[in-house]
Amino acid sequence: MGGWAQRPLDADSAAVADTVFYTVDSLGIKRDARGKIIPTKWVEPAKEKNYFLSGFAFGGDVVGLVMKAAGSTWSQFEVMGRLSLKEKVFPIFEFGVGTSTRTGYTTDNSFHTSAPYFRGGFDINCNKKRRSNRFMVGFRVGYSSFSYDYSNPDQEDPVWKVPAPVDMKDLSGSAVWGEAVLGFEAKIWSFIRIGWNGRYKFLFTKDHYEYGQPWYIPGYGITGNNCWGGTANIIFEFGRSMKKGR
Amino acid sequence: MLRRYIYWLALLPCAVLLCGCDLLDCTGTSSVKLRFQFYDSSGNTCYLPDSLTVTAAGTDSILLNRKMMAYEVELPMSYMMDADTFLLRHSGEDYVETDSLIVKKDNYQYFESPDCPTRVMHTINDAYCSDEWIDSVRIVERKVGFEDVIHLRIYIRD
Repeated sequence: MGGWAQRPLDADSAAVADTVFYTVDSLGIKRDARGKIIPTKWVEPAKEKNYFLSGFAFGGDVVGLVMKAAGSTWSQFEVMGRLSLKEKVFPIFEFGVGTSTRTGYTTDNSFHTSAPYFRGGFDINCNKKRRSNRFMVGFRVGYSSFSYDYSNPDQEDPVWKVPAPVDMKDLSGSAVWGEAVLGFEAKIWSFIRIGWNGRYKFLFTKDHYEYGQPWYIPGYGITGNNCWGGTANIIFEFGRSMKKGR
Repeated sequence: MLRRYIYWLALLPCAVLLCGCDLLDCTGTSSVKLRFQFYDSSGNTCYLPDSLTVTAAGTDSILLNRKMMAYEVELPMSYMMDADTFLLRHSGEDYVETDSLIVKKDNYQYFESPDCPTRVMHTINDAYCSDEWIDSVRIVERKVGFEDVIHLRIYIRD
């Protein structure tokens, strides 16, 4: 049995000279590492107060930039802001712009959209360490309202051999979806962190033009009932997590 | 210390690789066709006694070539025209009878994905025909889409 105790600067002072580790012997007397008795006036350091609102952070996703640089047919640019509650729960808001321009591999049909999207939700740190590396589990609800175009100016009727161009502009659509999030986050230095996460996405509702659904939904991904996604964030977090410690 | 950060950074591509979704299957094999059946004067379905050839008026396209004992026929419709005219040529050993079947319609382009061909669905507004061997036409279902239903009944003369 033992603990930490603060040694005063001198017998009459309240100022602390240093903090030492003590053990308790069989008689219940506290002794330091050298066996010296620790006077009872020595006080144990107060535990650090765990504030409810312990910080805030903002950051950006680099996956969209990588996808754009790699020539992907769709990409999204996203920033996030979040609060830190007791360095355990992190309410989070994400805002981004998703774009896609794509022509079919086997057809000349082209699809285009570019629109903002929003996500709100929370992460929970499941790691006992609150300030260094974090293992996050969370949930998001996303929403996007967007317009999209389909075109194929050279289409021809295969039987009647007459032009039948497709030129559909500004078709409107919207979607609400959920995301289950699993992620990791590492503290690089003081307020700088990096993190990545994987997301399983599932559509709640989807509205679109009766005779054609969007190929890509901003913020969600390629249209399907289920979808995988992920972000890799650079995060700037300010607050108590900037201090050293675990 | 540095190794720890390299470890985290090495995991970054995983987030990129995860960005995939269920891919859409094109409605694919389903095709948009006008379907009709033949009826006799007593209102029962019947087979044509000889061969039937159908062409699209104004083109050299043969849509149905000498089908014997035709009972039910499927025909493609034009993508953009307001009315399609089909020439139905019923022929036996010693006779040839040709009637025109005219179907007026509205057209709706339908798409699923850039990788899927654009389909065109239709709503039939009217249907009529000449009267060499066909007596009359009746619309049963106006919407022509992916559903496998009969759209027209063609009553033939006795």
